Amino acid sequence: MKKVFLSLFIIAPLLLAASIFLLPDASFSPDENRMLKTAADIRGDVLSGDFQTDLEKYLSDQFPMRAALKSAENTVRTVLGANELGGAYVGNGGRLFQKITDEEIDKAAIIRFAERVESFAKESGVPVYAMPVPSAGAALDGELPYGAPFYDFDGLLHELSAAMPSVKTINLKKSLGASADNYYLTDHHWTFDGVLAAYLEWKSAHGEGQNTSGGETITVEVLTLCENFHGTLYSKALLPQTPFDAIKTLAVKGNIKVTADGAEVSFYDLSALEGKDKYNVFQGGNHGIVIIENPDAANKRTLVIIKDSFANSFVPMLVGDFSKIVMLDDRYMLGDALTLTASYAPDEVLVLKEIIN
Amino acid sequence: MVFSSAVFLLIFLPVFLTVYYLLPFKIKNAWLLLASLVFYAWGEPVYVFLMMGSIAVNYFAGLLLSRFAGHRAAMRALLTVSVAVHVGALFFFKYSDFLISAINGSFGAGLRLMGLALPIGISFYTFQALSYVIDVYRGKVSAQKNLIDFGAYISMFPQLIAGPIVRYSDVAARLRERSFDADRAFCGILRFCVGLGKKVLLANSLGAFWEEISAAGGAPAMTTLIGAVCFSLQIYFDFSGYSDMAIGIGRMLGFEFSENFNYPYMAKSITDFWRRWHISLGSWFREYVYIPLGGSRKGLPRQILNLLIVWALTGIWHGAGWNFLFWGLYFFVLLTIEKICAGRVRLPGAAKRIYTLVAVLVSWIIFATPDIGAAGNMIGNLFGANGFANAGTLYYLRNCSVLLAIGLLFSTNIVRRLLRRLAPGKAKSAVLECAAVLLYALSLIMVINSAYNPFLYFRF
Repeated sequence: MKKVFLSLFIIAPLLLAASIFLLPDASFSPDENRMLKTAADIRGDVLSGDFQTDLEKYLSDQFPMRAALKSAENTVRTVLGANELGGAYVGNGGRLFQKITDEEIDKAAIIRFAERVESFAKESGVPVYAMPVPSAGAALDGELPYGAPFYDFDGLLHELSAAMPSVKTINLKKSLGASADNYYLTDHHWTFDGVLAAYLEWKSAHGEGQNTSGGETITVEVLTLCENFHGTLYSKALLPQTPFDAIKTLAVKGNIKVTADGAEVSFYDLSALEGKDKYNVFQGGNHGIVIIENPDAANKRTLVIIKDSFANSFVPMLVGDFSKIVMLDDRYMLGDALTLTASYAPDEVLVLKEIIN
Repeated sequence: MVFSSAVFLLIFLPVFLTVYYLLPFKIKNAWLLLASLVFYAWGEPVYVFLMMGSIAVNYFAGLLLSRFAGHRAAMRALLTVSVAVHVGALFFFKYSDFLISAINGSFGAGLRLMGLALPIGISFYTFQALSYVIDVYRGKVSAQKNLIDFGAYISMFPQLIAGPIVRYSDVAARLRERSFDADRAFCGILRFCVGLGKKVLLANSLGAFWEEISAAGGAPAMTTLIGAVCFSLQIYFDFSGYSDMAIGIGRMLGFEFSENFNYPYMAKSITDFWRRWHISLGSWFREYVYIPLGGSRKGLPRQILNLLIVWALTGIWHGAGWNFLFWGLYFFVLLTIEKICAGRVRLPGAAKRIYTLVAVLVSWIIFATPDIGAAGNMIGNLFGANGFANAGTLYYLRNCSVLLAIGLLFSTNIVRRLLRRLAPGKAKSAVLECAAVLLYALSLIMVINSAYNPFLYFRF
């Protein structure tokens, strides 16, 4: 009996290893939304230790049923009291939040960027608006697991706006915090509700109408793009039976032409809805330079948006107001967005990013 | 290579064991040596040559010592050279940057740091090697004439990178002759699975909470306490888990290594704690430093000096940093007080345990924080410098109370006592087999799933 057990202890792991090497490799894990290491990727050098790291990663990535096992593990963790899974908080009603603590934020870099925005605004004389978007956990702090560590949005925004007195900084926390529906359940971005709430704040900052807390509402024609969206936070927490989000947006009118890094793309790239990261439906995802031209716009004005992905779903609200919108994303271009801004001779500049970026 | 990795669990260990069991005894040691070198080279491709050098130096030192048996002066010279080579190598790789920083700090010398990567496990195998040459010098063991057997001893992968420190005298007989014993191998598997579970399921999970709480800083007393308890349990389960795995693999191969931990958190004094924690290190220092210095035989002042030397060395053995030196001296102070008070102060049992646990908890804060200032801050927090508790305390309590409860339970011998009550037989075997399979499977899943798998001994 003991010999049988000993043989099993040797044979079972070997069979597992053999199955990993012999079965075909998957190159992408849809649930985890990431590329997997395949046998072809094990190329590293033994002396540098890269080969060893690659092999370890390969065995983990191609382990039979790994996403299901991860999901089972996370379910057990939740039952045992865990509120955080793979960097996502599981909040009230299963709502997922990206976990971002004060220690994880590069505050100095954020302030340095603000100072550069300030000098641009001061030197160019162009009106500059800033909408630092609070992360879901900062706006909906009541929905977080009780006591969960999260960064201090108010303090950060205070320092940020103090660093750019020539810029009109819009505080979105109150209006976005007014309803949990302003953020997706399974993704860190804002929903169309959130976009509308922020748009009203943007209008009110321009002296048009009240903001949401002033009782202002807006009625627009809504386009539902999909109802089966599992976002970035779903891929972190990987909990079974997570409800789906719907992606909605504005039904835009007019002859809109979108150029992303030199190539023409769709304003709403419906093919992204077939893939995993459905938020990429907005202009096909992030690009370095996106130029949106709308000859039918109300004004012949140019807006430059210095942005991150939050702006992708916000920009539909602005295409009616500007004949040309240039979206610049520092993370996807070689040059520097602020330096490039002047070359587009903007009538107005909007800095629209999650505050931590 | 570390035990808690997919490569080790799925490929290295099963392939190694299969070949090991199939080979005739005569070449088992050669296979063990080869596999151990591969195991070491996997993580340290270059430093494996250092390990081979260490094997060669010791082998020839042992042979020469036995050749010159009886010539005291020659033997003494040989021993001195051999110890100097080992301690020199250890010092060069582990302490040169520490020394250079200290010189720069005191004299503003501005010397460049060497930036050498520390060869993993060097402190463990250097101490093993020293035990061999010193014991040959003392005539306690005879020199090993077979280079392969000797190499297998020095490089033996089960205890290579995280102990226990196995003395040559403990394994000499079994290096020459050992037979396969299904019962012993079975016990070895159970022991290995228990160790793996301790490391992967408990230590890694607890460690994640400690990392988070210690990184945040400015935590109130109860949160700091939760963090410090998490680390105390992490390092215990990590370290004793490695020792269990080493002892377990040793048994599968037919070796019997001595125990390295004996429920240290049940100790009733710091003296008692150190008889239960990393036993092989404590006994090494006693055997090769404390007693040769005179131990307790030359009067109390000399004994205290000896303790000071031993504990300063024990401190920096754990890492080249001021906090480790301070950590060792902290124990020196407590142990000295205990020696002086022994028999004069009587405390109830519960008070002794509380004193011991608090003293150990504080020691781990000194051990785990990057410098003495940070340790001071955290100890201040532990005693209420930032208030008693806040909402975050509840968060951590909710998130790790199950883990802490399991950890506290398994840091006592309660479960082992319950298992002892089970009469040996089929039922008990079945329970143990199921437990082993479950621990192995869960640990493997965690190894596959988790990006967080820290190695705590990279500074040892």
